[in-house]
Amino acid sequence: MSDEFEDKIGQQIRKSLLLEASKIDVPPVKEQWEDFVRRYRAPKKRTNRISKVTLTAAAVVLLAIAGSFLRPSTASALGERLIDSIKVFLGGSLYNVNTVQKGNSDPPTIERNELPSEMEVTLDEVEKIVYFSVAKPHYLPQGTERKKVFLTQTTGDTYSIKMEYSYNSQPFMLLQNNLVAGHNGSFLYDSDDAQVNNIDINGNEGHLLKTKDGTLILRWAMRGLEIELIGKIEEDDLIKVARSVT
Amino acid sequence: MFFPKDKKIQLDEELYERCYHRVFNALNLIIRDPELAKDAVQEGFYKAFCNFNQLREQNKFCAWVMSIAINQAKNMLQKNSRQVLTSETELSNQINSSGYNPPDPVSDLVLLKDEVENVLTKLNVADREILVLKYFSDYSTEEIAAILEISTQNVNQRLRRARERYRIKNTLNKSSESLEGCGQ
Repeated sequence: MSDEFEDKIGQQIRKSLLLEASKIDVPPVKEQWEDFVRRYRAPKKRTNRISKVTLTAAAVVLLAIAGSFLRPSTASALGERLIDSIKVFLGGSLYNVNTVQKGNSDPPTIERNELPSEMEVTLDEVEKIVYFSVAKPHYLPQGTERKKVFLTQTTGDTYSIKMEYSYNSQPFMLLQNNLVAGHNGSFLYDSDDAQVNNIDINGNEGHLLKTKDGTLILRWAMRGLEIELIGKIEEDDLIKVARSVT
Repeated sequence: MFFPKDKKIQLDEELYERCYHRVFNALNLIIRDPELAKDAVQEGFYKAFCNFNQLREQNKFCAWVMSIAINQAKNMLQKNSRQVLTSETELSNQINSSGYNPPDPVSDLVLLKDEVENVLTKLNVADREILVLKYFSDYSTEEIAAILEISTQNVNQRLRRARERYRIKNTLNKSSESLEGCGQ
């Protein structure tokens, strides 16, 4: 196949090309190599190094931020900051109240096998199902009667018990959830609509929230339970009920 | 293959020195612009060194750089032709002041008087490219096919056409020379 092109024309072309090439001033190779090094080697490598450092730093920062969410206390702190930001938007009237369960052990592993579902039960049944001692009020104002008890298994180990009462034809509730160690709960309220006072409930810090429509919410934590009393009831009576809960 | 930094630079320099003349001369014959050829060759070496690990047969380094540099040069030519064609007066001034034969992307349109005798300058870049690789660089059909990333059949076809165009232009050139001779 090569013979086809190695004829007279081929020789003529080769001759012309060699003649033309002989007239070209070829730049010195050393000079061109130095130019090459100047152009590509030094600056480009430096840029790459900077970008690698920047990338590494960015990756470390991202990992640190992502890692911080693994710790409940840090996540809670971030939540606080978020709430502070919201407060600014709402003109400083939004507040967050924390309910902290102190404990040294880590939260137990939770298996989410069952979906939370509320079921009506009797108090006796509740006490058979849950592994903790159910909190009950030993004082109730006159005219209060217990209507219903509901049990919700929120996760494998945590339960929510709602005891509904009627007080002067008004609903009145006692809610309780068992807390896991390290639990850090909170609730938000707007100071334009509600007012919050700290109340001592047998040595535990409670928060009494009074809404504009006269509903009182008293919330505190004791012996691993988060308890909430809700109802349109006299403040003194509510506190008395709270202090009678064991 | 990994080398210490100093050793790598030394190897790069050796390869550069071994291939530079071969690549530069061929490229300059194809595009006929030494400055553009210089830039394209430098860029070709840079890309080749950066992707050295992709080279399967290391004894074909020069052909590989050639391939990259040719593509680079063609891209540069395309860019330049858009710019140069807008100011032909400026181009002629540059040609006159440089003292070098016009090595420009529009060489098919702008031919200087003393270049008429060289038929190769009348061919387009594609024809010069295939002829230079075949008759100046002495690459085989297979090697040209690899450099230009085309099939061997395509190489042969392009070679035949380029040679035919060269033959026709050469004949025409000779006829016009003899006519000029008769006129005198």
